[in-house]
Amino acid sequence: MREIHRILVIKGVYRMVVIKAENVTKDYALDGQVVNALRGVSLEFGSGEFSAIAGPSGSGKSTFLHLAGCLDTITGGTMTVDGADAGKMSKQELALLRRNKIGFIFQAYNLIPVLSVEENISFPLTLLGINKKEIKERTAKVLKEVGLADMAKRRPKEMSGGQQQRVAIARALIKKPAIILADEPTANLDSTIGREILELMVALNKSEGTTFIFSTHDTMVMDYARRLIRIRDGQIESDVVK
Amino acid sequence: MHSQGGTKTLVKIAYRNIWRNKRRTAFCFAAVGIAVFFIAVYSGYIGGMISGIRDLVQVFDLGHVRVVSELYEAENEYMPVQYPVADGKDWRELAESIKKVSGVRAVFPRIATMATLQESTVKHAVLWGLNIEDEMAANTFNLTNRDDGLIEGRYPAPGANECAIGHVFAEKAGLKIGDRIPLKTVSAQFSDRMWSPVITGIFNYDYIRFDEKYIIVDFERLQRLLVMGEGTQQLIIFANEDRLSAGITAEVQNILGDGSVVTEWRDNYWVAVMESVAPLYTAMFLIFLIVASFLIINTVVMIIHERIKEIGMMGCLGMTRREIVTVFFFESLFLAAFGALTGVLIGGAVTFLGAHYPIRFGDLYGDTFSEMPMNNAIFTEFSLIKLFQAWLMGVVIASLFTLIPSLKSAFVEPVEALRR
Repeated sequence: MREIHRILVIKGVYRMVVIKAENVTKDYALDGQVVNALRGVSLEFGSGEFSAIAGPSGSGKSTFLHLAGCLDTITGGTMTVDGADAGKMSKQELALLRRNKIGFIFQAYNLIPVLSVEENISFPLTLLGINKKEIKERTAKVLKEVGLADMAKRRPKEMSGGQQQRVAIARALIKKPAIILADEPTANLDSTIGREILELMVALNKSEGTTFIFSTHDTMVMDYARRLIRIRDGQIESDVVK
Repeated sequence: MHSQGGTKTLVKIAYRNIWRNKRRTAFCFAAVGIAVFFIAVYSGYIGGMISGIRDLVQVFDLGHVRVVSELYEAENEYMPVQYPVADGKDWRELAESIKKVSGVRAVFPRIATMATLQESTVKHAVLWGLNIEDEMAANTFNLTNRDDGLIEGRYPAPGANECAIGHVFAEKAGLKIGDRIPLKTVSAQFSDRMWSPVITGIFNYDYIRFDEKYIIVDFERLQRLLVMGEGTQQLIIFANEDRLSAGITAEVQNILGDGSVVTEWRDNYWVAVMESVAPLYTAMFLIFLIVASFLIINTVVMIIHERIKEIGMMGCLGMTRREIVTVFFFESLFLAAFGALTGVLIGGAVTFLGAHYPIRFGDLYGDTFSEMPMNNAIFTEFSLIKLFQAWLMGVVIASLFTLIPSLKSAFVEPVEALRR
């Protein structure tokens, strides 16, 4: 069923809501003062979207990404991820939701240094308890897609930043998540490598129908995004579909 | 929704993590290793001391079970000969009935009594009457060299006016083979008995009490000298195995009834003392390990602090708290296990050497422990079971203590960790 959805999404026939934020607020206590990081944000992301959330530092874009990724809990409103109400879930349930539905890509790659490239990529599948044969096949396929088939045995420290980010993309992609959240994925890369990485993600978005949401203040990422949401002081400033 | 999987991978990550900072890992290995080394060596040493005391008590004092009369027991420090077992009944008949008890290997009569030496610089000695040939065949008297202890000459012949003395005694009294020892003792009829046996042998049991003060003579010759008829002062029973001694004690007590005191080797004061202090050693070993564990605790705390972002990333991947704790717990488990293994290997080698090349305890401490039934040489006890126990103790204690900081990793919120 999920495969049929995926094909329909790739062909643009079907759009399924994967993230729905309704009047979401998030408050932090910082040095004894309450900071309103998000003030009533309402957004919807459909399957197969390639969107960017842009805004200056402290605007709330990373906070929104963390809430959408079930890494943090909302203060008010509702946050639905792939049909599940994240606000009503326990930490254990949120962890399992992340494991099954959400992929993350970070600015600092955040790979497991003691695992090889293929072990890093296959790790999410291992956590899911998928059999070895399938893990091997899917890892080989994803390695090929991200252009790292000949680097499978290397450790992260033996690779360049761009290559490490490719590994991170492959790791996020391999479990075929409902959504991939990328927090400033090109910030540590030079523009050429950054463009390569973006091209790769665009290609994967088209071929696999995976939903990508970026938080960024890199104009290049904004250029690549098909939907650009600007956020300022915890509120949506604009939401433009190109 | 999938929930479980990958424990093997988590263990693999934990194992590889311990080699990320080799110097720190080496320190952890050293801390646990030293504690476990000490436990392995010290428990081997204490084990050797306990088994040495047990062997001496069994060979020289009680056998596995000793029978004396109640009156003898009341005055045993004077070694009275007027209170024979079972009112002087023929010891052979008693021995025959005791030999029928299941698990009994041998039954020997013994007499020990004081003697005053004349024309000698050594004034007092103990006359020790044994069925020498049978006893030497049944037991090893020199527990260091595992032989009959004879270093010169021969043991006295049955019924002859002969004796063997310890090498320390011979040295102090200036005696040699062929010399006579004029002595006086008191018979079971309270009459003075003068005797002058010829020295036919000199022994070295590496046991100062016997080497210095005992004169070994034939049992029947001493029995006759002390006018004891066919009776004996003590019956020493040897069992096929140590564990059978309690059952034999009960059965022999039944056979002999009131009037006889049947004592198991475990009732010996020194054996009881050594066995009762064993828990104290265990407590001491635990303290060593707890102290050593603090280094691992500290290491795990540092590791968690250093890898806070990694923990955040693990949370992003959907790892549950339990899985994250598993990684850190196994990491500390590996540190403890390998450290303990190092300690056990080195400690095992030392105890193995000590089991073959004894510590000359008497040379180190002189007469300090002469009241204890303690051999001059102490062999450490090399036991694979004890080494395994030391290793296990190291792993379990260190792991349990490091579980506390490992749990800390579970309470790191991914979002907080990623902000660092």
